[in-house]
Amino acid sequence: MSSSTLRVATVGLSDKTESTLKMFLERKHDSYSLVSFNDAPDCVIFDLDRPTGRAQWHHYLNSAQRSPRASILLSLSGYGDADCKRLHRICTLLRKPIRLHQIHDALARVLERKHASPRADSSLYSPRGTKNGARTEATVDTSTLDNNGDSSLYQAAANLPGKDIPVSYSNAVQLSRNDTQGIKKAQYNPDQYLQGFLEKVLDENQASENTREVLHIATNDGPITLHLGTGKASIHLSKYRFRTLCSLPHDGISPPPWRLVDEPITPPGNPHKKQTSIESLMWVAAIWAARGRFPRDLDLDKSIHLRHWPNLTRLTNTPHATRITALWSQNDYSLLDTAALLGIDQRHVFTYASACHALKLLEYNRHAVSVDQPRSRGKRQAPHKHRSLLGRLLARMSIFSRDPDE
Amino acid sequence: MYHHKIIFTGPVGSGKTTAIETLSDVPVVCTDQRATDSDEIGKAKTTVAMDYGKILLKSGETIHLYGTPGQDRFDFMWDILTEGGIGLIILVDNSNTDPIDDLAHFLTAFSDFIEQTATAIGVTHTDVTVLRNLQRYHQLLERFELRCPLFEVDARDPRDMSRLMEALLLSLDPGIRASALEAGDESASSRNTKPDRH
Repeated sequence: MSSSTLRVATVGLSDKTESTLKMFLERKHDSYSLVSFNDAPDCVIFDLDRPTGRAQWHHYLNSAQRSPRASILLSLSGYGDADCKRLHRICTLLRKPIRLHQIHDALARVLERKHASPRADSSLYSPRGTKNGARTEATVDTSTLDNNGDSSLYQAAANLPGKDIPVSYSNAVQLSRNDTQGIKKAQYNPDQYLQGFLEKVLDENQASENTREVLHIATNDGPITLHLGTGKASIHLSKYRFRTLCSLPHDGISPPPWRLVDEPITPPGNPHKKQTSIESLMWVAAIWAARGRFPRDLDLDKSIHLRHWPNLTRLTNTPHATRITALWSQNDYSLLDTAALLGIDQRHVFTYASACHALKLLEYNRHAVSVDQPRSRGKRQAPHKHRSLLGRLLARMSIFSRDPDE
Repeated sequence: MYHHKIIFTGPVGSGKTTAIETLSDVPVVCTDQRATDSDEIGKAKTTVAMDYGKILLKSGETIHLYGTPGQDRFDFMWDILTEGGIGLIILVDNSNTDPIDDLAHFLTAFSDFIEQTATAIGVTHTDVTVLRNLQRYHQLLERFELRCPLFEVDARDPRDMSRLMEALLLSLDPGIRASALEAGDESASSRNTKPDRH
């Protein structure tokens, strides 16, 4: 391997991102090579949105005792971390969604610095501004990581559940009933997410003899308070942080990023505070956990029954939510049949079902009717006689019913 | 020519006139008169015959929006107005003494029409009387064996009212598709030029 090649390692990236990156780096093999973290990389790419992402990055900085190496940070949020600003010369933060050319540009800058400092092969990132171009050399002793067991952090990142999330809003995967592998990949376990934690604390509180009126939840980024008496929730997180918190699974090894505490938590000095309903909080938490998947305790083959319409004017809209609900209010259908009948992507049905499931609106058809013969509840099976007119009116209404964020 | 109409009903003060104003493309024709029972109904004027507005589609078709009078003594108008209607929007004032009873009353009064078409229910004034949730309304619908849309709405909010209308239309036929012609930007811009009433 040429000494002019930039050695790049990744920590906590999804398999998909890593594969894409690998393909890209292989095409540019003259300039870059993908190495493991323990192979003394010149540059490490971190996913800060992983549950332990920030801790790993901080640890990496601290491990590089004299002068840390370059890092490229991927995150949904912006510069929320003071270290990102302080270390902007050696750190590049790229906001998600990540585009390959952005990574390319960031790597090119690191490579440029490496070429400009040939002696600093293993430490390119000594402070700038030294006179006469002289740089303070520093080498990270990666053996320290191995010996003191800190590398377990990186091992944990590699083994994170949900690391490989194949189905998301960006992938239109259409499953069939006998696609066992596909179905397995499209399932998720709500218990690994904030969604499951919220469901659990609410259920436990309801079942408890000493029911509490207010539940305080501490997270790494700010508190969430549930006021059960009024049905309201206060969220002291930015929307990006909250989205990240909802969408990342907990590995079951490290301490969870959320916990129930007894005392009210003083919110950090951030200006983010959002009041919403607990129902809306649960709904959003489920949407972000699902991302096109469905909870593993829902059976794709069984017809499901919707207890009643969700309060769709006060809940985050998901694609085709009204149409799916309208169909389910007439008949009980399985998730796959719903997507097929309406001619929509399964991921939209899955996401919506996940959100309804979080509000406990779904139950299996108690009459156990075959999926081929859904139990009819309504009286209208034939298309409406004014279907085209209704379509024109629907289009007109849909212009105004969109969420401002859509 | 077929007369396409959507009916708005509900108790006095539930926001029927406002909802029609929100959706209509033309100034709403109201038959408001000074209320003889203003203390009882909580407002000085009330609809005595009907409210009328229109949604004008690009295809040239018109959807007529009719609001019924809220008081029972004008209920002779209800059958007249619903004849040939494609669907029913019921608005319920959550700040009333017994909104559940109000809703039960209108579901019973319009049961034949609902059976033939579909209904969507909007619960208004939830900012005045804070709702813990819509559970009691859902329990009532279960008693009526109805699984119709029931949302919190602000009758002044085009987004809320459009969602409620969407739900009504898809309840009539979940298979209907939004027409590309109507989804164009022109209608949106024309609607957005309406003067702000607030």
